Amino acid sequence: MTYRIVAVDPAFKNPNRQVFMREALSDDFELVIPESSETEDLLREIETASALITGLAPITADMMRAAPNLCVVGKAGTGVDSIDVEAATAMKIPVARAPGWMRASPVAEHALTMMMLLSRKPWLWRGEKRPPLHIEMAGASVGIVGLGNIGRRIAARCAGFDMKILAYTRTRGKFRPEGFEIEECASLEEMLHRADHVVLTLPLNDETRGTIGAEELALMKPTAFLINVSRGGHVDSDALGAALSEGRIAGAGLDVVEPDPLPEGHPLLGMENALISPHCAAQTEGVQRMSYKLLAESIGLAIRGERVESLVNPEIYG
Amino acid sequence: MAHRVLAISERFGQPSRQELFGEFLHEGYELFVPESIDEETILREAASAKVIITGFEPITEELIRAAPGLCAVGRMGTGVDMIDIPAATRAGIPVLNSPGSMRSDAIAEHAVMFMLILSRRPWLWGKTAVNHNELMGATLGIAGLGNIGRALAQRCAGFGMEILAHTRTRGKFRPEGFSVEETYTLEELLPRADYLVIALPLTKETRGLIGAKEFGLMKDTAFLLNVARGAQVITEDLVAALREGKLAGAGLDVTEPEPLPEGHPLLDFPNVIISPHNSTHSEGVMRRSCRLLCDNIRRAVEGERVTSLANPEVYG
Repeated sequence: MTYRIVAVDPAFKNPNRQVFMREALSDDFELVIPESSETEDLLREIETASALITGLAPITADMMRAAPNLCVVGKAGTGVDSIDVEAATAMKIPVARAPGWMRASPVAEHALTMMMLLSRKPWLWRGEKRPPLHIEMAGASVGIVGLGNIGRRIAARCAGFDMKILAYTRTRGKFRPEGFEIEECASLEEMLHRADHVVLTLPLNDETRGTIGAEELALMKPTAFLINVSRGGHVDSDALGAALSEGRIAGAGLDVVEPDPLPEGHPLLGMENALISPHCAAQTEGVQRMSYKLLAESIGLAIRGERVESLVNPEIYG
Repeated sequence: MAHRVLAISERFGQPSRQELFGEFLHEGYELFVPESIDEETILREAASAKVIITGFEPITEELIRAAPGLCAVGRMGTGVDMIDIPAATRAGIPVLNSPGSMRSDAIAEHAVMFMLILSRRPWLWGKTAVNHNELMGATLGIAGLGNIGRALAQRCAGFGMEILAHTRTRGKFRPEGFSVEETYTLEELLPRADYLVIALPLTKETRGLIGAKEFGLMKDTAFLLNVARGAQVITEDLVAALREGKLAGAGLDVTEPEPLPEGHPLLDFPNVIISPHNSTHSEGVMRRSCRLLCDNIRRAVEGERVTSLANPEVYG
């Protein structure tokens, strides 16, 4: 028999998203991409599923309950805010994911790309007017919110540019950089005041949702840039749109937005100093191949009743 | 009467440049930008010039001879390939420039930005996610290991890249906290590099450094970045390499000719990023370079020794 793996995120309709998963699956697995993302249709597809996978679309407790044969849920990424982990744990279902280190360096590269694009504005190079002067990275300060796998890699890259590195994290003093220094700020407010580039690299959860709203934007320098390579839910998009259009901050680089996609006519769209990429920071061939291979392996392990190694909820194994 | 600093490049007529020189020129000095920068005009205006400064327009022996009161020639940048240095030295005139270290960080940043843009293709971001190239684990090949090459190596080390370099004077750079493999020849470096960056001054030896033969040695998946001088790359060979898929793309802050004429084939490739020779155009670099030039203009005119010049031999 073949085991059905249902991809609940409509983003999987894009062949680019499927290719690495298909490549990693053996013949006894069938990757199912539902035509419709309506809850009712999804629940019907899920009934016979052995595994559910997603990207940013939610895997809810209802969905898990709708699949009596379910052995595992998961994703190729690291952040699992789209999955009801608590419900999965209660049902003893492993939540498979990629470890943070596996995907961190391309995300860090993406953050640096955004910082440099905002500093040098290549889209103005061919215009009629003389392009504006660049903003130098050397000597500028970066303020990193969250100092996990991604934040540490951003810090190492910024150190190479001779930037001043500030960070704010709940668990201070855990990262000991080698060959460069990080000043960990006592509060987010203090860091926002001082940073020329504010970069968000933290998981989305109840505590971090809305980390940057109107109040925080008001603390930033009018010359500062906000970079978000984590989750759209960290930033109040309307407040950011207002801050940018009123010149209260200088620019934004967003790999993620909420809502995603932004509704037509949203102030963040078509703004010259708001760069938006389609949640593609970790989209490199090597990383995608590695992440999907791991996910396929985890699904295989779970279906055979073996222990999944890379998961969020190891407590299910007691 | 004020000492006249003759600028033979139109760019000095821009309000931003005027403002900059207004701030840093010493009292008793005036910046003079002729209405038209043709040969006849500048030779005539040179007669009353104490100093001649340029952007990329040549300062020839003839021009130096046409200025009997000349105390210095120079520019804000580092590369002085457009100035006839032997002629200036023979005339006993210092050639003012900025030390490479003053401008190299900005140029290295520009090169890294080219690498990131070519690897992540932001012009495709509006559509669906496409796969990026990663800098981590990729190999950087630097031609030249002076101020720019070293600053670039440091930045790319932070990205976890392998770093190769070829320079005539091997073994002089001792990086701290990362390593650079210096190859014996450029030919040895070319087949290994995923990103080739030219970071050399333009001289007789480096003119036409990268042409058909070199593109033939490079990987089809490699990118060429030029942040030095356009003439170091043979433009038609670059176009041919791109057309034939022998190169994955290019990032060029400099071109030959510069600017490229409208309709030039290089302007049509989606995988060629061209900036208007502005890698050093940041406020900090412009201000530091202008202040240094203006300080040295005063020193030269008042008979003091200047602090940054391309021909120290002028002082014997």
